[in-house]
Amino acid sequence: MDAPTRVLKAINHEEPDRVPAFESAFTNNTIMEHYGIPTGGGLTSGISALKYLPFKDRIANWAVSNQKFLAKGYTDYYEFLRRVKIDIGISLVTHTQRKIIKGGIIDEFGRIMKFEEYEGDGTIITAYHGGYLKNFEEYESWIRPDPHEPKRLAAYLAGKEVQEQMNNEILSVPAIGGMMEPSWEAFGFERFSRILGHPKQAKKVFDDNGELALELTKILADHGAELILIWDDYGFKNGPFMSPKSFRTYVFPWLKRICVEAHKRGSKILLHSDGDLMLLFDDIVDCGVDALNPIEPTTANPEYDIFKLKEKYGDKITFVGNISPVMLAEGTISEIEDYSKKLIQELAPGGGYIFSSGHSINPAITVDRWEAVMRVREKYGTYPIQAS
Amino acid sequence: MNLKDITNMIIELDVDNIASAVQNQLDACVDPFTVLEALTKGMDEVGRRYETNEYFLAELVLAGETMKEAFAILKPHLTTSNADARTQIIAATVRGDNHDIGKNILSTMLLSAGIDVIDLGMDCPADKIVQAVKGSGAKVVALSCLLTMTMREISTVDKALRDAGLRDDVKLIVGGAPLNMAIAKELGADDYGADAIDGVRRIKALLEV
Repeated sequence: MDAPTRVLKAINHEEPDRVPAFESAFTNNTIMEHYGIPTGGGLTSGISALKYLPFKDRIANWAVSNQKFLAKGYTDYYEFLRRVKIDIGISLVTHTQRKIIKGGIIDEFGRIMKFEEYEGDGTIITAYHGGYLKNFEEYESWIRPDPHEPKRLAAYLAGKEVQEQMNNEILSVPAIGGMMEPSWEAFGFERFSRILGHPKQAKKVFDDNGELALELTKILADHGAELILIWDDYGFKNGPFMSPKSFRTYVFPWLKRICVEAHKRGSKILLHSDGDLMLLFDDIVDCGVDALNPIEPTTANPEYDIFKLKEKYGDKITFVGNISPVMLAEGTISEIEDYSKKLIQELAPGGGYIFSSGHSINPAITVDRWEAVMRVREKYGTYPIQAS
Repeated sequence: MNLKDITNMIIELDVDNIASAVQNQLDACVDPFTVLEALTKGMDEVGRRYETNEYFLAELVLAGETMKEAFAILKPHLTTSNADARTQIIAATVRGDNHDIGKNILSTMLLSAGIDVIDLGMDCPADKIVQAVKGSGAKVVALSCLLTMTMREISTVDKALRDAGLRDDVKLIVGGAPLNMAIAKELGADDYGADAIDGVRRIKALLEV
């Protein structure tokens, strides 16, 4: 069975040949090297070189607008995913740079992103370093990302090109920004809280990001995207970033429209949101989201538990998660194996489950722990799933 | 406008008008510490609403912003002797971690609770924390970390404080996404704050104020 069929069957609550796997981010040089993949793809030297280039913004923009160049960039990463039997690779349709700054970029949403090197193995992580925009006036003069810019389709098609080269052993999924994260991260949370204190300003910011995500969903679905990843964060360890009422005012009307337009065109929606989403879960399901990642296991809410959520929402949404990144970094091999096995045995029967960490694979995760996860998938992840 | 209005402005998150309201109170010769009390009362109610899910993180942070506006006017009028009498704590995000929402809201809540915060900012190395403890005599260090890959820095700070012979004199409290009480203790911390409100409560207990 190829990856697109495997993933879509799971999302349709049917049983594929094996439990599909996904990671929203895999930033770990040690594990990549272990599987024979060169790390960074020249990223470190590329970043250093950019500092000295004239017209660097223009050159970077050319790079992210050129399908062939982008496809080359995806090849190693998708090959790595194939080797570790992860079925979904991402093509990044938004979040491109607007301006190159010392040690990083300002992206098109107005987020300051810096390239950080993890001391242990040199993994480069693009980390959020605050909002570039100081207030609503600055926001209004910021040129909004245009959904019709050719670079967006180029990124999506580049991913699909590599998927085809790999005989569909990977499903390339376009990732786009959502409504919450791009809205607040453009300012930073303190300044954004002030925007929220002015409902007209807040509505404008959320509507702009909603309109962008909706238009991109239509474009990508019209070009055959089977699954679209909405990259967002609605919550944190202790609950939603803002009240459920504010989500219902500013975010969910857009999320619902995105799902409707995607479904009309035969596409599915995978929402990535960290945090305890318990108070928002009914709304997320009602909006029509097909799959949710990562069902973070390290929240403070014991009720935000994937096994309890499965009981209540298991027939309505596909779960994509949730091995704790803390367990993956610090736990014993047997803890990791037991929990991974439990996830497969309790969530995968009948479909509706995609295996994933409960956040991402970061540099603190060791090879032996990752291999424990791989072993469990190999041993217990083939359908029909054997009961414990 | 009276002190009750000042309290209500914090509760209603009136970030645009709090500064002028505080200035009006000072112009009317109201004791600055009485104004501070009214602000603190407002923050206490915000904290209560947060804990009962009437308010969420955005409101908590906006209340902090409202407090900052008020403090910008009020602080020069709070006499040094009174400020010195307060207990100091040190707050920072650990080395390698650039996520400071939690630390910032904790700092503002502590300020309104009458506790002085030496804020060492983000990505703070252990030796800087040791120097700050030495220099200030602070009795509590509050560390925040969001990332799994940076949480081991808590142990580094614990060790650095031990190596400097300061660990018996200072309590270490931590908070952040990958942590809970068990992990916090295992990493060498004395206490764990589940959120900013809980953090303030626990820091006050550690300081015995």
